[in-house]
Amino acid sequence: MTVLLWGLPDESPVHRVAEELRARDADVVVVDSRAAARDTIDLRLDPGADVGGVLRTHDRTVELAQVTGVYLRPVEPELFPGLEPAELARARRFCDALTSFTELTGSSGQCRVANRLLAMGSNVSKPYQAQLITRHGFGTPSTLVSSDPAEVLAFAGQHGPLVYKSISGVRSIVTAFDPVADAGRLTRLRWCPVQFQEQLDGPDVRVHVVGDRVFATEVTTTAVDYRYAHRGGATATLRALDLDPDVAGRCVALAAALQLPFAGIDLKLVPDGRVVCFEVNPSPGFTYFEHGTGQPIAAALAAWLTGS
Amino acid sequence: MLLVLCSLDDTDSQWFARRAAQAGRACVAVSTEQLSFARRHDHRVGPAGDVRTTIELADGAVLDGEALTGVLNRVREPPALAWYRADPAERDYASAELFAYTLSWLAGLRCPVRNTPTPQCLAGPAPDPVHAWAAAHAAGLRCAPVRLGTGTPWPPGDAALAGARAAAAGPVRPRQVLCLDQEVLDRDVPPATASAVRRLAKLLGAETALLGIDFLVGDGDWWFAGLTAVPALRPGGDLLVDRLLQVLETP
Repeated sequence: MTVLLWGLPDESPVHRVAEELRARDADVVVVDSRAAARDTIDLRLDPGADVGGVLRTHDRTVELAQVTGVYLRPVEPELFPGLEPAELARARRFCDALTSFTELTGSSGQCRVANRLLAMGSNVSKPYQAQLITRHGFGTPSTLVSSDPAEVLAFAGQHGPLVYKSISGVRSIVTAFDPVADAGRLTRLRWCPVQFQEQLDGPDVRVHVVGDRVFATEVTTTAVDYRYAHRGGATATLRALDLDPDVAGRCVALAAALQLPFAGIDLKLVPDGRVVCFEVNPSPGFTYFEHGTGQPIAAALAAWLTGS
Repeated sequence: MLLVLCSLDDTDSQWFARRAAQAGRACVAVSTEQLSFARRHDHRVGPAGDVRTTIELADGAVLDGEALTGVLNRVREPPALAWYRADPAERDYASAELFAYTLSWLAGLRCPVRNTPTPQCLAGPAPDPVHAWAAAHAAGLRCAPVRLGTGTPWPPGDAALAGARAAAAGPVRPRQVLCLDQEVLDRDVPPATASAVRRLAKLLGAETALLGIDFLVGDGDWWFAGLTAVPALRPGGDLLVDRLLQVLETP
């Protein structure tokens, strides 16, 4: 079996999945996002036939029909500095064609893809994804997206402590809102609304769903955003959590509904009993949690990709 | 109130807004550019996912999501015109934020919306072109072989068109067929093609959407050449206006 990994080979999630796949004697083909201007792909679609074609990297030539699994964590070519316009255009064509392949292959079940870019789309908007999440038995924090300073202050008065963070999937740091210290900056909202949310108490839980397997990690920290605890001199302690079976089942159902065989679901276990979901990450950087808890997430993903 | 959302140069949407007003409907057309310079945006998502949005435009007009009865959504770009001259990195970030906000706002409306936005396209369904080709083939439309990759000059969106051009024998003419909520609005489309268009809409999960299906037509053959969520409206004429008003007024 041939499994395609598309991303940065030295980035830890891609590296770990490659390790685990090789341990299973899978034929691993790594498509390096940095080489998109040099690699080639020719995609063939003929009526009545499965999608086919040939992919050529610096060291491999692969018949796409032979690919039985794909793990996607690509980096857009526009993010690599130094590409000439012609190189960038070629890299874009390569990425578009490979994306088309990953969108289509396996639609009849012969290839497993984690995850298709189309399915990853819900994460481009947190409040949009929140609307989908609430249909699957989870709560969401009270949220205000506003360009009006007075409304933000009124919202803070209604809900107590707030945080603010990006509306989009562009990575951002969750930050505590200080109605006094931040008051002078609120006028900047005028040209681009900002997302504010009630700040909830309780432990953070990251749930990795791999197919129907669940790996839950409880994070204990005093930081607002545990991912950046070290920046503020705080710490984050991770431990494997035996998740309530009902919550675990809802996580699997949510990931399946979003068509994400692999997902990182961020939960907050609120002291009043509510289980609130912040977001579903469709391309989780799982190695931080694997390293912190010893949970075999990469192995589970490799097993899923190879159908074993 | 009916709301038509479109870019300033979308004369087809403005045509529909005029026709709706002539038909006695309270209808307002608001451009993406107006949204870019709105005085106030207020978008709330409650703990159970309930959505409430109010936008106050620069002229004082208020768009209250609760007061809208139907929306024709033809927004292709996020309302980021105010960031046009900003530093590119800032502009890209603001555009992503405004895209995310607009997607959530439009998706959260409770009234009929054509089209409901998708994460791929604010104006509605926008499947990967190769996925669309495969769905068209599965639906029974005539599809030419497609080639796509680093060795082909066309972008993915033109791959089906390029394939159709290569496969069609003799002269061909482009033709766009309107499909609204699985009803084909063009009367001269061959019945088998019309049935396949309806199946295509269903296969794409676009059962309640307005789509334009592109064909190259020649010598009796209708070759699939792509699809769009922002089709030309005027060719649909009275039938399109009637049907669109009907679906936008049916909760």
